[in-house]
This record gives sequence, structure tokens and C-alpha cells, in this order.
Amino acid sequence: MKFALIAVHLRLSMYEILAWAGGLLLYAAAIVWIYPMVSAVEGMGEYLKAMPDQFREMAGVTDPSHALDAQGFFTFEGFLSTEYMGWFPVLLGIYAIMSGAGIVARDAERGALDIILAQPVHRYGLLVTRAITQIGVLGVLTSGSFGTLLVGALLLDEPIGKLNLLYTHAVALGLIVSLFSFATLWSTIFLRTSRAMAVAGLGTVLLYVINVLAPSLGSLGWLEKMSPFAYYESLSLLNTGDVDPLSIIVYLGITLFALGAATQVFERRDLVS
Amino acid sequence: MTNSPTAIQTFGLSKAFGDVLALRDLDLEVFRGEVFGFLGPNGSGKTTTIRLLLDFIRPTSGRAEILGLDTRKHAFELRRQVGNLPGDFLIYPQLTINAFFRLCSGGRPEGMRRARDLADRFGLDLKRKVGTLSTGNRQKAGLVQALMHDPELVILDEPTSGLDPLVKEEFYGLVDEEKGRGKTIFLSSHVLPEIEQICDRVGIVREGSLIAVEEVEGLKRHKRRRMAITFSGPAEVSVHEWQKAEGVEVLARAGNRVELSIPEGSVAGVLNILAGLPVEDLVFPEASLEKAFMSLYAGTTEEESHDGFPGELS
Repeated sequence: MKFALIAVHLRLSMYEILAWAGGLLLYAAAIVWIYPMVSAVEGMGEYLKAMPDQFREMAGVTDPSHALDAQGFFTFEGFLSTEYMGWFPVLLGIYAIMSGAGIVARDAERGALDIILAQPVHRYGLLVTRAITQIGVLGVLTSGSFGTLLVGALLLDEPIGKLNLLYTHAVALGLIVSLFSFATLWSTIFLRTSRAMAVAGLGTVLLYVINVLAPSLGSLGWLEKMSPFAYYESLSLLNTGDVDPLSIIVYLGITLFALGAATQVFERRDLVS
Repeated sequence: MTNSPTAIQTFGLSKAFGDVLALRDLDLEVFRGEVFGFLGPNGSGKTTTIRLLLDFIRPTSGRAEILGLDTRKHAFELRRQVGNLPGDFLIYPQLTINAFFRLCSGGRPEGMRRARDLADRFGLDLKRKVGTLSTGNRQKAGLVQALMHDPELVILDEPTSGLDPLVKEEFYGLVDEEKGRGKTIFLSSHVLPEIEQICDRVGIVREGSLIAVEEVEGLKRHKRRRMAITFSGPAEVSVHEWQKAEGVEVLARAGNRVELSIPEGSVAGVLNILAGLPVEDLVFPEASLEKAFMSLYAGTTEEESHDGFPGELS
């Protein structure tokens, strides 16, 4: 039953998975392709330094000097972080929220839950199977991004740390999966895709804004730590490969809590949408 | 599975949605090997009962057992033993019927074999996508998935909705076969002739309460039908004369037209009276189950529901 559920889930999501995969890979390839042109432009360092702090925060470049070489040109890592890896969890996070919000709600809306749950499958079995499958899909998309950037770096002959790039993707995936789990919880609460997507999306935007604005709020700067985005520092990860254990704890904690709560809600509630 | 003689048993089963009590204190017993019809108008609590039995919704109070097992505690085990066709059956339109059956078979080859046999019987093309099916064909696919596991108990919510008469007959034959194999069928329906044809017993639910459980034969004995007669000329038949046929009541008389309420078994008496009269037209449809039961169990008289000749519950 579980294999059939996985097969059907993948089959039904095939086009959206391919669309997101294609979009992300094109974006990654484009970034690699334009790097040689941008790296030769003088004054990019000044431009980066002139950006408002909040804007640099959004791109994951808290300290501009870490993104530039001694001559003030973009390093490959600095450019990747500013133009791609800083945004990667946001972009894939949108898909994660969309897919999480519909994980059981879409079937409830279609009336398909009545058929699926009349088969020998536990409610939690259905939810966990779907969630693990979708986390697998997010993992594959993240791996695709890693592979594209790695091949791009080799083609450009840029000496990027492979492990650093891998760790950056791994931490980004942790953040993306925690957003997916958050949306999954709302899917089980509402059993309405649009409502779950709205609440999960709004909550995520709020957490993102907190991450961007909190450092500028003086005494309220601690609020930044309330946002899961605060535990993802793409530039630092690309430069050093040092994974903050706290980020793993936070993302794992959010994922386990949200999926655990979603399972409990789904197991106990009436299946009426 | 236990050796319980009952397929379904409920104990004070109630369900409220907010302030609305959709089902109240349902005590119902369905025996193994019988075909049980669950009847009632829309919103009466039929689907709520079915969803409670299948553990899709949870009771506000009371409990239910299927095949001797508690429906909440043993929901997973029971899904192996119970086939279900939901009332508004929908499934992924992108899937082919074959892929849909494979999903429902849980990888068990015997399930797929039976599904293919049943699909052949209903004339379903397994290669077609669910989204391209007509209502009737989609209903057939739903019936196949309900029966493909060879379940001990089959719960069907409006199973013949959208089926053409030939397929309905095929379905009735299938129900007979399943019954012959000792399986239990629990079906909700609006349609009295269908219930009469295939069910052993019926339960009537109205406004969330079970108002009657009766054998179909008993139901037929109680059932009154209406007859509207139009005469081509003057036909002076007094109320007293009509009542010579046992239990016949005159509901209305206007000009050359008369409407009678006739109990089962008195039709011949009425026809005897009519034999010497100039009858121009005679309408004698199947009785409305709702009206028959309302007059029997809810105290509503035939006159109060004197508004045409409906064939189905509303």
C-alpha cells in the first residue's frame, strides 16, 4: 500500500516537480554562467557595501568583505551566496509550503481521502508516507542544485570547496523541510489547501521579515533568533563549511515537532473538509 | 475477525457537528449474510452513520462494532474486511482505472485479479483515465474497488446512482452473489424498488434518528399506494362502496376524478369495483417509501403528503 501511495503521489506531482526542478536548475546554471562577466566588473564591492543592511541580510551577506576578494571583486562563493544560495531556501521553500499545504488537504477536497482511507492504511501511515516522499523530492531538487553548481564550478575552474557547497545545501534543505513540515501541520488542521497555504505562507513571510529586520531593531534584535531563517548563513557556510549545530537542532526540532503534531491532529480529527 | 453473528452493531451512536445533532442514539444491528438497506431522505443521517462506521468521523457519544470489533480501536484491521463506496465517489482524474485499482489493491495480486474480473463484467476499460469517465462509469469503478478485496462487509452509499438500468441489473445480480457467498451488504439508498429487489431488511432514519427497522416483506405488507382514476363519464361510486375493498380510503374526489389510498392486498378488490365503470385513465405508481414510512411510523397521514406521486425520497 505504501509503495502504491508513493507511486501515485509522485505520478500526480510529476509535472510540478519537473517544473520546479527545471526552473531551479536553469537559475543555478544562469548564475554560474554570468559569474565570469560579473567577477570582472570593477566596483561591485562598492556596490555591495552600499546596499542597505537589510537587503544584504536577505541575500545572506551580513559582512560584504566575506564576499569579496582582496581586490574588491566578487569571489565565486560571495557571488553564489548573494545571487543564489541566499535565495535558494526561499524559492524552494515556496514549493515546500505549496506541497505541504496540500499534502492531505488536497485529497480531502477531492473526496479521495474516503477511498484511500478505506484501504488498509493508517491515517498516520498515509501522512508520514506522503511527507517522507515529499521530503525526498525536496532532497532530490536540492541535490540537483548542488550538482549543477558543482559542475558549473568545475567548468569555470573555480576552486569552490565541494564539502562547503554540500553543507550549505544540506542546511538549506533543513530549513526547507522545516517550512514544509510547518505547512503540513496546517494542512491537517484545515483540510483546505488554500487556507493552509495562506496561513503557512503568511507565517513564513513573517518569520522571514523578522530575520531581515530584527538586527536593525536594537533591543529587539533577539527576535531574529525566533526565525528559522536566522540559522542559515549561506556565505559563512560556503566560505568555511562550518555547520552550526544549533541550526541542525532547530530545523530538526521544527520538523519533528510539526510532523508529530500534524500526525496527532490528522489521527484524531473528523475527516470533513 | 471474530465469530460475532452481527456484521454491524451500534450502541447509542450519536454525532453532533457544532450545535447540529446529525445522529442521535443510533442502536442498529445488521446480521452477517444479510443485505440491509439504510433509508432516509437527504440530511437524515445516513452518510453520517456510514462515515462513523468507517472511522472517518468520530462519535460524540456511543460506539460501533463491525464484525465484532470496535470501529475505532480496530479501524486498520477492519479496513481489510470492509469494502466502501462513498456517496460522492471521486478520485484522481489523472490516473487510469488500472492505476486506481492498483492503488486500492495495496500490491496484492488477488485484489487486482478480482478487480479485472469485475471490470470485465461491468464493461470498464482499464486503460481509460478516471477523469474521462462518465458518472455511471466512475460509479462502476467505485463499485469494483469496493468489492475487489472480497470483503466480508460491503458498505455502499447510493451505489446505483448514475448507473443505467442494465448495469443496475448487473449490480443487483452481484449483490445476490455476494449474499450467496455469505457476505454482508449495507447500502444506503433513496430508491424503494431497488430496496425491495435486493434487501432483506431495511432501517429508516429520519432527522438523525432511527425510526424503524423492518424486513422488506413486512414493509410491503404495511405499504399503502395511491391510485388516481379518471372516468370518461359519470361514475357514482360512494365512499362506502370504495371501502368494500379492505382498507381503501378515498383521498379526493373532483368531477370525474377520484384518488384512493390502497393497502397492499386490496388492489384486486378495487379492480373488481372498477370492472363495470367507464375508466378513461388510471395512474398507479410505485409508492414513495418516505410517505409509506411517514404514515406508518411518524404519524403523518397520507392526506398530509397528498402532493403527487414521487418515486424516490427527496
